[in-house]
Amino acid sequence: MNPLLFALIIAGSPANSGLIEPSAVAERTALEERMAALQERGVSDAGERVAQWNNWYNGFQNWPNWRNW
Amino acid sequence: MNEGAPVRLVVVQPTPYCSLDCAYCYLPFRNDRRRMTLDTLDAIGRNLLASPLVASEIDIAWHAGEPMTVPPEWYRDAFEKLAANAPDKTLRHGFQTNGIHIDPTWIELWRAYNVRVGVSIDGPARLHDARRRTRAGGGSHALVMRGVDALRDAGQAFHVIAVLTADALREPDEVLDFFAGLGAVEVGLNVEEIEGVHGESSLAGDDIERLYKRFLSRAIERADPGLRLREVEGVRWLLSAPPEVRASNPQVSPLAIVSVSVDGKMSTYSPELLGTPTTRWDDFAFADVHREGPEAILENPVFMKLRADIERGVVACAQSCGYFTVCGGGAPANKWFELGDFAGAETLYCRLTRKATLDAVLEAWETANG
Ligand code: SF4
Repeated sequence: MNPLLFALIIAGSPANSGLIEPSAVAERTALEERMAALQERGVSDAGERVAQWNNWYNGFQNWPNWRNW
Repeated sequence: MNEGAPVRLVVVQPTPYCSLDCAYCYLPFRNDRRRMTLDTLDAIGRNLLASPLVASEIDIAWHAGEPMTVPPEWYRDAFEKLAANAPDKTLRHGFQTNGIHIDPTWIELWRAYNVRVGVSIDGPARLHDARRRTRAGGGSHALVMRGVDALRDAGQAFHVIAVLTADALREPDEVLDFFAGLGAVEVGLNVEEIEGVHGESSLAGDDIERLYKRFLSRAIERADPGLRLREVEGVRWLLSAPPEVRASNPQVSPLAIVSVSVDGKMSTYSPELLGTPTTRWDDFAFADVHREGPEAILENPVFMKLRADIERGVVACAQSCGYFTVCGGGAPANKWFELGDFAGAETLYCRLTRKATLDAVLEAWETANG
């Protein structure tokens, strides 16, 4: 894929693209806001997950790779 | 698009054979008793692990068949051979096992090589035995629990993967009571997938998303001190991960995961793909580790077509889905098995494991935090 296109999609900004369905943009914005609000209220990982399980849960064992092959 | 490499996870199939006969199994060749030869292991070390395309620290998952039907001595040789052939790399081995063969000899091996151990248990006997059956058709719960007792007695850490069926979702407290007392480091909740030779799921019904979300909400509400759920911890991790990490997804990144079959065929993307019989995709076998390294996968013309389709699927996700920035385009295997098309977007699998999981966990935390 064109890396620029991918970057635009990841950024998900409606002003950037017009490539993304408006409902998806609205959902993403709402999701980001909810996650930021929870983080502000102190719900976060702070590295605990990695530390507790002997480093086995690196990026590959985290979301979205939840099968533990 | 993320180029994928370096390879960070290598999934090795020591044998396709499995000693159980679970109702939801996706493996097409679980009666095949072949065992990987030492020649093939030698080639995995030399041509794959030692490759500059492979990261300096690698997870090796022994899977795609029951790894413990191959004896512990074989693994001692295997671990030594791989380490000797890739001396500059740090190898971290992991087993995902059906748990019925665990004994002190195995635990000693895992200790000696610092192997991560995951046991598959679906909950209490009633639920587990309904699906996870022996080859004679009986339940396997008692056998697995004997193995779990051995792990606990030896102080060997283990995690659990549980496959949730519709029956389990209807009885959250029964399932959560069981796992809260089990002593696992973490419990991962897989959903019964439509995958491989398992062409239907008890989770395909109308009410399933509600039941799945209710299950997770109940788990968060109970907050059992002895129970750490992978799904909940995964969402917690998401909250603090930087945006580019959240959306990175090795299942759609070429070479990030490399799978090696019992006879040395190599594949990439979702590990479930390798060995799925399909003429269109050459059984997803794109290179032979006896002759070549992981770069050969990238040059295979069938792989190139697959890559284009998977990338179209990622774009479809990016354009249509409100969860893309925390999912990165899902699991190609599930798109293929459910939709028959890598270029598709939403699946039952992602509706439950991504969307409903996020919704349920965020909602529960929002309620708890006023
Ligand atoms: S949640 Fe599903 S539809 Fe959305 S990006 Fe992930 S795989 Fe695609």
